Amino acid sequence: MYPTPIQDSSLPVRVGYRFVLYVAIAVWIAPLIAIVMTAIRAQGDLLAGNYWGMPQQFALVENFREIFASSPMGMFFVNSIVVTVTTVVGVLILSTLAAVALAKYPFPGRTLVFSMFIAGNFVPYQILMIPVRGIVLSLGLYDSIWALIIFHTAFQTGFATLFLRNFVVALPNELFEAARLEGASEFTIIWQIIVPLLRPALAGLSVLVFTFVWNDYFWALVLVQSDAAKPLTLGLAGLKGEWLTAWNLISAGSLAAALPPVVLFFLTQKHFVAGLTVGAVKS
Amino acid sequence: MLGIDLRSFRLAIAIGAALGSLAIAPANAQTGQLTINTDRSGAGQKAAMTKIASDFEAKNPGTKVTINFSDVESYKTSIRNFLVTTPPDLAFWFTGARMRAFSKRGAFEDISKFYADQKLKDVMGPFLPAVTDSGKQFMMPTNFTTWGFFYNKEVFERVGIAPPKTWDELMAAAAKLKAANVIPFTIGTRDLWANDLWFDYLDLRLNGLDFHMALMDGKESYTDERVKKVFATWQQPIEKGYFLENASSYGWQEAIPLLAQGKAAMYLLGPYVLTSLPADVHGKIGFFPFPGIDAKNNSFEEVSINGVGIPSGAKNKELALKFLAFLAQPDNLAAFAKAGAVLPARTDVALDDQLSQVQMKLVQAAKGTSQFYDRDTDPEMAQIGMKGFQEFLANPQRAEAILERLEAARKRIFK
Amino acid sequence: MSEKTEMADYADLAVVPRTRMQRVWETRAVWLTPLLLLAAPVSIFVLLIVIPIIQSIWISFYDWDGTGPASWVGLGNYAELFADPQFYVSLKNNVIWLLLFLLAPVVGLAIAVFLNQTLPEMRLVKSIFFIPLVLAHVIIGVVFTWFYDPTFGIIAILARAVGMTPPAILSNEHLVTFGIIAAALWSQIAFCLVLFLAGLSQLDDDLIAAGRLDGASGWPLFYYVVLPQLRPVTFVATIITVIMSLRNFDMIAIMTQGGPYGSSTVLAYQMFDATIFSYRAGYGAAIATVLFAIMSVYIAWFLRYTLKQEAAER
Repeated sequence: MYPTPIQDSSLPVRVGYRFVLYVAIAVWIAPLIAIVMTAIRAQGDLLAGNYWGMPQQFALVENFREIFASSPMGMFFVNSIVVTVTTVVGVLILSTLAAVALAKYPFPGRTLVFSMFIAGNFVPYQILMIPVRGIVLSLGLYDSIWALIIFHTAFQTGFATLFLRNFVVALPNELFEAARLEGASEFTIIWQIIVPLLRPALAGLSVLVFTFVWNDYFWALVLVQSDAAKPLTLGLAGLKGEWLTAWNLISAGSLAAALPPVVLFFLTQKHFVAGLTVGAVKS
Repeated sequence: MLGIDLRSFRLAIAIGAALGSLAIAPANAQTGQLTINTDRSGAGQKAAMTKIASDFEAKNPGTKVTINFSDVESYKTSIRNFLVTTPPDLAFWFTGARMRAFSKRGAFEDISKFYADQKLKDVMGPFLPAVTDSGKQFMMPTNFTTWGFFYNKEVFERVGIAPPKTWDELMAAAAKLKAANVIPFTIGTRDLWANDLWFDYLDLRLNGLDFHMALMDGKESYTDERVKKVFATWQQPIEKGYFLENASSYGWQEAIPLLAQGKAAMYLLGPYVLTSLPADVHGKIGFFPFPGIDAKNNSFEEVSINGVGIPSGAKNKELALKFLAFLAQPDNLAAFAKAGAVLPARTDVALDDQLSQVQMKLVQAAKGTSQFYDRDTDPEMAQIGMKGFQEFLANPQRAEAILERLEAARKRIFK
Repeated sequence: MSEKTEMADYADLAVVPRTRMQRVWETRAVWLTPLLLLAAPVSIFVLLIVIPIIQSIWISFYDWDGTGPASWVGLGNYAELFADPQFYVSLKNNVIWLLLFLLAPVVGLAIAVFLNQTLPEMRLVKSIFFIPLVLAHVIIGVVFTWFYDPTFGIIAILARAVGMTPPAILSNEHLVTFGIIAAALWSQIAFCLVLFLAGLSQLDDDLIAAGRLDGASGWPLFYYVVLPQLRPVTFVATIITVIMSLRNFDMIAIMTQGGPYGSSTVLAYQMFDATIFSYRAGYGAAIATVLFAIMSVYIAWFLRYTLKQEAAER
């Protein structure tokens, strides 16, 4: 395992490590603390310039209450979940198929297709606003969660294919030859050999795609109009208020909105655990 | 013949069609579905709007009103999409040039007749120019804001000044404040628009409304002597250090704490500054309108008006007009405006708040009004102009270069 | 693996009895399979991404406001762009973003290695490091602007505590871009961190053990044994970081709106500003196309480099 497990080192090293670790954590989450500090105060504090000190009153509960009272946050939450989960599943499937095709089959035009996925990924997506709006309209999906699902699936497939393709390339060809010699069909190979080997990559990818789609604001703005299809990001933006922006509400809402991806990351971490290596499969 | 009597066949079809249309017609009148898109979604106005909608539903049984709330910034993007794709029956929006950007492309319905029908031409008089394009009205004004100096009363007392009435008095007051280690004018220019008030008011006071509106319409040059005079006048307080240092580090909202804490004395802004300040600070803030410079220009004011229009692609225009009439009733309009700490766009409404009364008087006394730099001029010009003002506030010595740049942009945009 | 060898392998299959259908399938499997595999992803991608890109490039030749009629201007938008000094400021800022963003994979890898221990609290710690990636950009941007607030911000408080005048980072034409990049790097490092954690979990224990047996440790072990195994992840992390650095406009929009007076604008923001605020969709499309072209050069080079390396390894 790399690097050397700390448990194997001497006590001073172990203590030293933990010390550095917690200092690093403190520095890293300083902005997060700031957000929490904002979420627990009322707007009056912010307008009086009291950003970091003790709030005049502890307003976290009121802030949350106002968030939920002023808009159907529950519905927005459900919309976000549906769009994100569906997209992640769709992307994982499509990108695995595409990545395997690009990595393991030397067909003519392979580099071109790969370049297409990369290129489509690095376009500044704002410029797609008007054409995509037109296409979604003509598909009859405008202002529905399906608009978001189909667009995000398409867009994230570019990144996901790029990501997975390199992992698949790293898998040795001997595996497939052996399987083919035993009479396995191509799809059996994919499903029973490649996918399990890609598990950490798929886990990492699902977390990343989940996060990108969960946090998307721009496309929700372009493709959705009514509350029935609004995801959480758009709903939170609506908390901004008429003239003055209620940052305390937005902080509280953003913290709540950050929970699902973090929980997902926490849960999928076991797939990142060292030990699931290609070497193990050799036997 | 086929054994079917053709005449009775045709008769049957006719009867069937007649019955069919009878079945459909009342269904249409009954399923009156009204969709409204609005960016007036602060907690107060949201509640007020929802109540008005349900009152309307009660008065018109069989109608259903759906309101889509959005925050102001997102709305600026989404309106450009939904007016083209699936327009609602009513859409709230800014008036002035912002409205004209859409009305001149036929995105809003001509509702000039509505004013005559509802006899609103007089009570909404001062606000009509804002919703007029080429002599026709395309929106109905709902509420307005005036602008002026909000000052910290305690600071003024401490330093010994009274609300100034002329520009010279204002400068003298600022000098006194600076000597007392108080920032005379706080301002946040990071989001660009707070500066507009200074430019607009100075232009109105020095050069009058006609010149100002001509400049907004791109008919006058930014390198004209009169505009140079505005910048020269503005330059004096900037160079004397009367403005908040590093104003572009602060959003307009983040400059408010300085006023609240007494570190700064005055903020040229709108009344919603007050609405969310904590109660103990609220009472400390007073208001005075922009001081006069030249007597003949002193009664021009900056009044920003919001309104609501019917998109030309709306499905239910009849019902939309009915709703407009309902909304325009004094009680409803007043309730809607009050909930947002703004004023209703009717001159015959009784107001209970002192500040509101002061503002209404300003508007009624005004000989003419402009809206706001970024609502009166072409949106692209507004962006370039505002960035120019932001740069000017930080680097007043670059006045000439900035004006040249604005003029070059004006020539290109208003060709 | 050369094609010849693969074909020879398939010949072995003739030994096993199979139906005619299976035989047809096998001889065509080499190119039929990828076709089937790619059908769905490619078609959805082409429809929603590739076609809009082409449409956007097409729009850049018009003068259009996004809703009304469009008029053909050919290369007019591009001429205007290259004559605008703002373009060069944006370009310069893009270079700064690119260079500083390349710190993200480096720092991300360092943190990933640092965190790759099996101490009991590690799962929670990793989740904490992951958080910046999941926070809404708007609130990250705003909180950082409060950090930089010259009167009330943390940096101002610290500066006054040591007797310095607080810097006005967001008002300073020279510092503003760095201030914004700091805010954006916070989530970009978290992104690279996740990628490298996934990569580190796929390391080959045998190779590492062998390296250690050979006496390698510390830097040589890392450079010669670990890093090569991380190549797929490094490739993705770097490419995405480059893309994000050039495409980022969220933070700029939130923190400075491209200011003060355009000094923190990048091409992506200039494009957004032109399309949304100035109602010039054609001009915005031209800026996007230029940005796209710049990225293409980089990506083409990188792709060739990587494919060459992969071929060399075979």
